[in-house]
Amino acid sequence: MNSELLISALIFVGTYLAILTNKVERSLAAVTGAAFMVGAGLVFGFYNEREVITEAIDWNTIALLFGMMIVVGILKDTGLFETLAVWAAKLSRGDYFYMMLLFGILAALMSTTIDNVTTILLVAPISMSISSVLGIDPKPILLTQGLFANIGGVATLIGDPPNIMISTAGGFSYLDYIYNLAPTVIICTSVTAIVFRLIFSEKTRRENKEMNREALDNILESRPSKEISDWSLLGKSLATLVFIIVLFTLQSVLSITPATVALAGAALILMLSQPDMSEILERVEWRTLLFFAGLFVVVHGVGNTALLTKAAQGVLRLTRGNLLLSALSILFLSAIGSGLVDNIPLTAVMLPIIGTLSANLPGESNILWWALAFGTGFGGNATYIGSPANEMIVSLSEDHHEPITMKYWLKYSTVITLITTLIAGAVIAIQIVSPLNLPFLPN
Amino acid sequence: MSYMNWVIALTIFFITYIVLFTEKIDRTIITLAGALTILLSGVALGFYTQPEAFEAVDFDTITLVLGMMIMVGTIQRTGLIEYLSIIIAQKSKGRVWLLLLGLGAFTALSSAVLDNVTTMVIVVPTTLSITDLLGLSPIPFLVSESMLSIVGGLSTLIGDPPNIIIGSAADLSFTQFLTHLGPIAVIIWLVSVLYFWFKFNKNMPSTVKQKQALKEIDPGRTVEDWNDVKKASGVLVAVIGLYLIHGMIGLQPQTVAFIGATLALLLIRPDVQETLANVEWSVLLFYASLFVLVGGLEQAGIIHQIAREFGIIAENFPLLAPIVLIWLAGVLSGIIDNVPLTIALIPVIQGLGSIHGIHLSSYWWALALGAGLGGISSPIGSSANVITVSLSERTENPITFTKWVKVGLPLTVLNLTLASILLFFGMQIGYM
Repeated sequence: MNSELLISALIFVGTYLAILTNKVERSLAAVTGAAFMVGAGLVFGFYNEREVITEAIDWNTIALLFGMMIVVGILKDTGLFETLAVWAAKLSRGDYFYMMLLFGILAALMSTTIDNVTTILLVAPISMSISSVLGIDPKPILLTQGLFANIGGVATLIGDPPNIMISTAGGFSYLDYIYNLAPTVIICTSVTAIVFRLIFSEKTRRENKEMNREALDNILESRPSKEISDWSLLGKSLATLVFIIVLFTLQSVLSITPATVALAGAALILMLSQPDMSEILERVEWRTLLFFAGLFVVVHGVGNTALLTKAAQGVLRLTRGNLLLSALSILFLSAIGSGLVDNIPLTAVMLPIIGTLSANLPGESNILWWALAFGTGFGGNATYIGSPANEMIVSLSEDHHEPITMKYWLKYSTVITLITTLIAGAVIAIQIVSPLNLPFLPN
Repeated sequence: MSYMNWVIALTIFFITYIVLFTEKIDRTIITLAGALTILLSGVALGFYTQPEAFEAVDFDTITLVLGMMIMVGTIQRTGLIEYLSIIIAQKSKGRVWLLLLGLGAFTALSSAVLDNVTTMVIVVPTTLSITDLLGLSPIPFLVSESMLSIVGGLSTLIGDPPNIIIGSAADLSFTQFLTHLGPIAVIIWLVSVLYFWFKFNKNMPSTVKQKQALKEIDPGRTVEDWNDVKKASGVLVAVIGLYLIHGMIGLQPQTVAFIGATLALLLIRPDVQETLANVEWSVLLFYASLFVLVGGLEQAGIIHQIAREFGIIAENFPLLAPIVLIWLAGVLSGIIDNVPLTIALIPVIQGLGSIHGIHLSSYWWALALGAGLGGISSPIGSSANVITVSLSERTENPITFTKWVKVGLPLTVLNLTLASILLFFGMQIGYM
């Protein structure tokens, strides 16, 4: 092992440990790690200044987050989130678990059509507002949303960036995804809901008892529309949201990136509402953006692509020729990988490998591609570092006096990640082993 | 159909720049909207792609400005600059002319290293309190300081935004700016001071009675911690030193800015969250959007066409063309902000080089001179002027548009003429 690899791996591990232990502020840990990585890279010659901007930082993710933060920042002034919160409270009849489920399903549904981060930025404020009114703990509700958004995003071509990449590489259509992935995703969502019902049954009882009944009765009687504070701004915001959703749906047809969609939405709502620019920019979560930028720089420094490529090729060489083993190793490999790094670079590494494998295996099976889609989608839930949507959840929870910590996250996410990945594995195995071509299972 | 692309790209560009000129909509918002509109129509019509838009953004400029903002913001809060400006004022010992000269020289020097706006934000309140104390009209002081800050900013790579952008586009170092534009800035500074003397001589007393009061101002009144002031001066000296040698040791200017920012943060230890919140993100977004907008024009082929046409003229009149550029940039930058102007003109100049093989250095200096000096003419010509005027509105005797133009316009014509002559001689002896 040469010294550059050792040093970059040490910095990588150090940064992750600093983030995981929560001792230092996350963004500070990521940026410090990035500074060390670039510094070491300049000394050992594996990093140069320009790479930081041009290659390491995934500006697509940063610009997407930035654009949506502006849109949501303006949306907050309309009272829309409070209105929807009242609605949600009415629908759930004040039951804590139904509230969790309601927001989870909403997030899962939305993330099939729009980007996961956008979903979270739109749904999470509603649940924050309802939690503060009713005096309940927002953490489980937020957690459910994050996990469900990532699971739901797997179901469609446009739900998740890796799916878009896979569709380009494998030549799949929108319907291919619905047919092959959506049934399994529905199973996973249902199982997750049942597991949460069990895990959180005690919590639900406690929260239902401690809930502010007076506030709840008020809410159940009030008209949701009463909460709207600025009708004209609401009209403009809804027009922007429609614009964004249409662009997201047409994204693959028009070949525009999520970042462009989000920035165009931000430009539209800014033009329509003409707010004080400096005030709006203050609402942007610069720390989250900084965290991602830092993390990207660190991950790029390990030569993640080189390492990942080696690891993937090594594992897959062992399973060569066996479809079942290949599919399962792709599933678990990508699940573990996307828990640690962003799933976009991970997918980029896996695509060519799967392309060669698929070509060399007997039969005309596309199942390896679907294994990759499941792995990258479900695996991102394991830690909140693996998915921008989950990171957003954590960052939003910091407005609450008891924010979500890594420990809290891992306690629930690992179970769900394991279960969903295993379900996907079982489904894949059944399809491969069975002599017939089963409908509604990935093939 | 390329004409269709041209019409659409030009329409979006001109609407954006006209709205920028009218200032009806926040400049960041309108530029962002213009950038996204040109990008979306480019993607739809196939003349502009998203990777191209990303490449159009000059991240060297953005990161340099960001690094300087963090560093300057931290240094500003220590009270160092204010301390120095009061010391300078006290050295005048109540002689009004020396006061005007001293503060003018200080502003020019300070804005050569810091940005003009920061300089004026610090110097204007100090000046107001001194003129108030001495019973003088603040207008000659404020007007001359703002104008001299522009002249000072002209002399270095980091002194004003057009220079930063030009330096990055043309790959010019700090020393190259200092050795080429520095001497010109000094001459223009001297002439400007003489001009102010003729202009304000009649209406000002030669000396004031309140000498004792001036002496009694505590220069350290805004300083909270003298250690921080020492550290801030240390960081400034280190950064200037690094800038002087950055070309030789192979560091990029933005790396130097970030070294300065890191040093300032590490030594002075301000609240990081607050420091980041004070960064003017909307300025950075404004710059990035401008780059994307002009990038769209470039990809539509318009800039290429303009450069080809102008190149023919430039080839026939090699000495005249840069002079024309000084005046073109000078007049336009009195009307609109000089950053959008510079960003739009740079690809045209680059085109002159790539299409016609013209040697570009004299064009870069011409653009820097015109875009910088042109801003003097009106109160909206540069951000430093805008700040100065808005700060003066809190006093009994605010600066009006007419008052400004009466002083600024003749000075701009004088300065542009001077710059043209100096550039002409520079080209004659083969220096520029």
